[in-house]
Amino acid sequence: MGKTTTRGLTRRHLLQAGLAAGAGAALWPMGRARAQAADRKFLIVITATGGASILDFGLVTPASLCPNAAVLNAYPDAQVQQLEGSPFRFMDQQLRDLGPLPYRGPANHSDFVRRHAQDMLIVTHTGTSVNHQVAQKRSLTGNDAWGGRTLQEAVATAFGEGLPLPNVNMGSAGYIEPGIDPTVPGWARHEPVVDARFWPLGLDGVQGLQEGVPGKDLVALARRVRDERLDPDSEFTRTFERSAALQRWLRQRGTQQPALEAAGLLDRLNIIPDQPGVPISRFGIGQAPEAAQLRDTFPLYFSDPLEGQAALAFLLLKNRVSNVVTLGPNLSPLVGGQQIVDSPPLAFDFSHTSHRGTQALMWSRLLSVMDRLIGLLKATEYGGGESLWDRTLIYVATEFGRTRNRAANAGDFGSGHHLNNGSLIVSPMVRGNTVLGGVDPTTLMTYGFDPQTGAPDPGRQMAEADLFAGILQAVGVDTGPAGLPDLRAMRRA
Amino acid sequence: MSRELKVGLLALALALSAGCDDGGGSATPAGDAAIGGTGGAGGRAGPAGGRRWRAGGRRGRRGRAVLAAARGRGGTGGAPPVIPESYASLKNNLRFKAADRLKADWSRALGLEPRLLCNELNLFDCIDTIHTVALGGVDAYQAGIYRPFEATTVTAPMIVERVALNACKASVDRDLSQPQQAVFLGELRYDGQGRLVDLAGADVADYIARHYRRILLREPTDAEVGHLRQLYTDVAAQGGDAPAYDWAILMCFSVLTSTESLFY
Repeated sequence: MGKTTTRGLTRRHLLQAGLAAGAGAALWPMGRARAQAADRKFLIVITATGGASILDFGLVTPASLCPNAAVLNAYPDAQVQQLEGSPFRFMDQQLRDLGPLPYRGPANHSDFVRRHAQDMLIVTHTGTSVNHQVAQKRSLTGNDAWGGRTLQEAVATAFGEGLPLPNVNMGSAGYIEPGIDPTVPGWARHEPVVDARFWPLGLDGVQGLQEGVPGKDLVALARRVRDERLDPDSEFTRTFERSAALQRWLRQRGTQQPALEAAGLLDRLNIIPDQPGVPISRFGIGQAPEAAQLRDTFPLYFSDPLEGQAALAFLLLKNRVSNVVTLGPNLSPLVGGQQIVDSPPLAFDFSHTSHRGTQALMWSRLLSVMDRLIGLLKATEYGGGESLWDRTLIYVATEFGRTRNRAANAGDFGSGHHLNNGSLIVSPMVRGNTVLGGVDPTTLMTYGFDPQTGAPDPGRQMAEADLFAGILQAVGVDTGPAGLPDLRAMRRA
Repeated sequence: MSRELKVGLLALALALSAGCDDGGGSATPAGDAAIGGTGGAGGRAGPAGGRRWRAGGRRGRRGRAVLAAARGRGGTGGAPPVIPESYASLKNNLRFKAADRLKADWSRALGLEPRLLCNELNLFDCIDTIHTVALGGVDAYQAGIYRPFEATTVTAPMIVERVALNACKASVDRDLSQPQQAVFLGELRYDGQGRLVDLAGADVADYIARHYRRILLREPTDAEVGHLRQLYTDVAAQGGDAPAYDWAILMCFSVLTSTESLFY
């Protein structure tokens, strides 16, 4: 069967196409890959989907400081908390409803600040779009600051080479869109995940299927016939052998799939135990060694997608499957778990109907999950006496801020989209316990800072690109090739 | 367009249409023989369905002859048209079929309702529920993904295999348990030990050909039939207790997950 194709390619060439492409990619930068493996950095993007207002967590303005407090989103002094020696202002609230939606319970922000203030950095900025999808994407690309690559792609490219799936994205809408920079290597592009609970099933072609399906050894025989005989010999393959889509498929099937299956990721990433209606073990599926611990840490992992995502995110990072993970609530409501409504529809964007209740609850949800995730990372050794957390940066991405006005002394009110806002970053690698920029108390608009010294500058607005650059530089990505501004002020000295 | 190229394309179209006529139609009851150890003493030829498949096989061979002539590899009389590069696409605009198209195509090809193709843990629809986006589909309501991602995901090849293995098992089981509704079984002969009676027999070739007709809408080449016969030998050498049953699933799997089946 030593056939020669019409352009002189033998079947052997075709068979080796995937291997060659994969091997070639792995060979030339081998030194770089090793260097990356020795110096991994990790990025977690948590999407505050819908528009999280920094004026409702971190930069809360007490009424006594605001001359127009009655008609702006300033809070009664008695509610606003601030730790001694810390610039953050926040609140704990007892919610009685979300506007027309029933919700009753605490919205706790203080626990997070007390535990993590030293790693918290708030950076003020002003965006360029109040369209959700567009603004979501721009919060990740810095409004195309680096050829359209996302933060995740940049960090995966810099520190993720050689990992099975460097960039896993569990976000939604614009947060799960890939970047548009064609120079980003294919392996650094994101792998989308919609349902974190069951996604690991897709990490093996055979394991976990119903009884009676031939086992791995037999399937291997069929794969060999397909890969080495049927496909290379077919007119179809020879006709489209130069198709990028086909070449990508052959690489994925020929090199990535065997590597992923050999790594046993289905077992290592699964935390679902045997339970009524979901008999995992009957399908030959194991559980991650950390499964019990993660179920304790995120007890709502099966019913609350955010908790399920956080558990998977930890396993992806700990097992060095990924060095970049993205997670966050989508626009669907969460109902019937702990109470009638556990999380509002549209996530933070339910602020259109109930600003204060929505912001309080959604911030509380994000902070709680972040707190637990950080706790796990701190308890996990990276090596050399460092914890995984020592090398991790969490960026809370959001589309935009919210309008500040309200009817006179309204306790709750609806808000619109506003370009002006700020972002929360948490990491040992950033300048912690710091607010860069500030809030004009007369308008509640944020203003910028000197990118070198961090000194507040009321006459300056920081752009999406500044935030983008500062995050990458804090993690240690060389942004020189992109000509990005130096945001020294964001980095820990 | 050169005359030679036109002739070649016409011949190709004829050849393909001959293949399509053979097998693209609806399921044909094709006998009550069974595969594997679950059936009785097999080997009975199917009734009319079997005869029709054989006739189809002859048309298929004619089609291949035309195709061979068009490719300049055979045929009789006259100088065959030489069409260098004619099979190499210049556009290479190949696309992965993705979730909805795969579901529709495989459902039609295997004669199975879409919901029977694959269910993870016997609970969740693989294509519509669990792996939609990974298979190139959209998820507007949950994930806000309104357009399919351009590139296939890393997990897609594995998910494709999961769906195919489940679907092929369902297809084989359907043929065994409901002979009147059998789509592929035809005259396939087996013995009491779950082995094919005659690996070199026409019944095996026809069984393979039915899969090619319904899945790829063409006849298999002799080489492809040979490769899939060899697959049986390899499977039987593993010593399982139902090699014909396993082979039937795996043969279906091999064709269903071939690049020709997955891209358009």
